[in-house]
This record gives sequence, C-alpha cells and structure tokens, in this order.
Amino acid sequence: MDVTEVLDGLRADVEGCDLAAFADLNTSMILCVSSSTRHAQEELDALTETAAAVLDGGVAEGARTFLDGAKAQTAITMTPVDVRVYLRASQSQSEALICLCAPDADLAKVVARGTATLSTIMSKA
Amino acid sequence: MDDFSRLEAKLAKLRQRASAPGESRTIRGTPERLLAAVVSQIDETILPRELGFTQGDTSIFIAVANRRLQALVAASALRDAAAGLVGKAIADAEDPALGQLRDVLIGLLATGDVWTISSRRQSGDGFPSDIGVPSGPLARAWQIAASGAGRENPDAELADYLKSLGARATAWLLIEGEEVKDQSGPEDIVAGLSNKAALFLDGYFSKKDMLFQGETGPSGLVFSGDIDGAAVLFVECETSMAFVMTNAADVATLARDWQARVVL
Repeated sequence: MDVTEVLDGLRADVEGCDLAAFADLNTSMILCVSSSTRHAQEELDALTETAAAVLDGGVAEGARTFLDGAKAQTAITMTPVDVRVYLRASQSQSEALICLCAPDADLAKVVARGTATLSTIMSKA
Repeated sequence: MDDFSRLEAKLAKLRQRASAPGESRTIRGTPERLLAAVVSQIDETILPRELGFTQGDTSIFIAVANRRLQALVAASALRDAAAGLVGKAIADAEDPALGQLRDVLIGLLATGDVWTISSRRQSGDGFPSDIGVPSGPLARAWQIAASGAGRENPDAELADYLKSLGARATAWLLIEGEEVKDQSGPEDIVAGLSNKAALFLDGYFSKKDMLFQGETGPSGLVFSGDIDGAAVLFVECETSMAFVMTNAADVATLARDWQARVVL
C-alpha cells in the first residue's frame, strides 16, 4: 500500500475529510495528497505554509508557553467554513499530516485516525 | 484585575495591528453552504458594490447595496434564459427573477468548492439604493437555513460556551475588547494563563490572516502536546476572545463543541 492509498483510506474513514496531505515542514512541500476535488497549487502551498507556522513557526513558538515548553504535536485551525488539522510525526521529525475537513467534522476522530495514518506512513519511510 | 494589566496593555496594542481587513476572502463548501455565504456577504455590504465570486475560470458578479441584492451583473457561461437576468434589477422578494437567480448561482457554485470573494465599486450609475431584496427576505426566499444562535451573537455564545465547560477545562479566561471580563480555575493557573496569552498573541496577530485565509467569522485554534499532556483552545469572535486550558485527550471534543455553536 503506497502513501496515496493510506491517505485515501484516511479520507474514506473520516466523514467530512476533503483533503489529506503528507508534507515536509522544513521545505514547506506537499509530498503526497489525497483529495475529493482538485485543489489549486496556491491552496496547497497555503496549507503547508500554515502547517509550518502552527507547528514550527512564530505561532507555534507562542503556543509552546501553554504546553510547558513542548512543541505542539497537534494544531487545529477552525472557522465556520472549515477546520484544518495539522499533525506532526514527532518532536524531532519534520514530516506532518494535514487534513482539510468540514466545519462540523468529528475532530477527535480526525486526530486519532490522522495520528495512526501518520505512524503508518512513517513506518514505511 | 491587576494581574491582567499586562495582557490588556498588549491587547490594546495588538488590536490596532489586527484591524486592517484582509484583501480577499475565501469561502468553501457545498453549493448550499456557499449560497449561504453569499447571502452573509450581502448582509455585510452597505455601500454600493459589485461582489465577485471567482473559482478558476468561473466568476459571478452581483450588485449589492444597503444589504440588498440588486441584480446579477455578470456571470460565466450563462445559458440564454439565464443571460436575461444580467443587469436586470430585482424588484422585491416576489420577483420571479429571484428564484431564477438562485438556480443560476447554485448551478455555478456547484462547479467548485473553493471561491474567492472580491469587491469593487459599482460601474456606471449603479442601481437606486432602495432597489433589491434585503438579506433577511432574501435568505427566506432562497430557503437558506437560519443561522445558529452562535452565528447571530458569537460573543454571547462564547460566554455561554465557557460557562458550560465545567470541569472539562482546567482554567479559562474571557476577554472582551481589551479587558479581562471573566475567568475560571485556580488563581495561580489563571494568572499564568494571562501571562502566556500575552506572549502568544504577538505571534498570533502577525499571522492571523494567513491562518484563517481572510475568513471573518468566529475562529479558533487548538494546540496540544503528547496525548497525556496539556492543551489549549483559543477562540476569537467579534469583540471577544477566550483561552481554555485543558488536556490533550479532551481538547478536540471541546473544539468540536465550539464549532457546533458557530458553523453556518
């Protein structure tokens, strides 16, 4: 099973997950994506830019104060039109999973299933 | 309240920076949800404007003023019957053109799920300001589902949400404007939360437009560490914001509970 199939499986399991992407935070690049609809490259670029900001950048640095100095493993942005879940592989790794979901998505399920998906992908690396 | 003076001073400074509007805004979702967003946009438009909705090569322009939909100005790939709607002022909610326009918009909005909104001055003489259908009757005519209470009054919804958290939150802080209005939790944790909030807001306001892609409704952020560690939920509404400390295992559920109050 390749990475695309793993991401497809995640989207199939999580209702309202429109896009799942495997990304590298250091290079701000999407490495693999599974999506129900075609997304413009600019939108994918914006997703990785945000992932880097909330997991590694200035916003993440501010958030560390709430987490006893630890880096965030999970970050979520929410608006009335969508939610975006960003999951880091580990404190020392730069790979991340990005999920773009409906605004009423089951966030606990997205995080749990996304974490398992990221572990599966990383175990294949 | 002295404990919060640093946070309040920081907010007074940062809100000035955050008040500049984003240049564009993106909406997404099903055609019905997008149509609801179009009506919301009309409701927020007072001055005469042409609101544009663009997705790839497809675009729609409508004339709006005084929170009224006045006319379809232009749209991509209209068929003959729909082309007759262009430039035709919509008299009121009973105008048959209103239903036709809904069908046209739904059809075009179904061609993509991410649309960019733009605004420009009306060309030519525009339409008289009393022409058109106000957003309220428009929402009813187009059968837009009534907004949730949270969408109507997010500040009050946030205060109610915080009160509902009980023991699920370790501590929380509610800020209205630049003033800490309410709090809950052990005194030392709340004081620490205030200091951490001041540090966090610096980075947050500098990246806010990027984080939410210009979306202007209630927004939220979650950060959590290891599954057995701490987590924070940050929510911002029209004039209020809140910080909620909880644990990583529960924070996603708390975030979803908030979303349930404010989704379109």
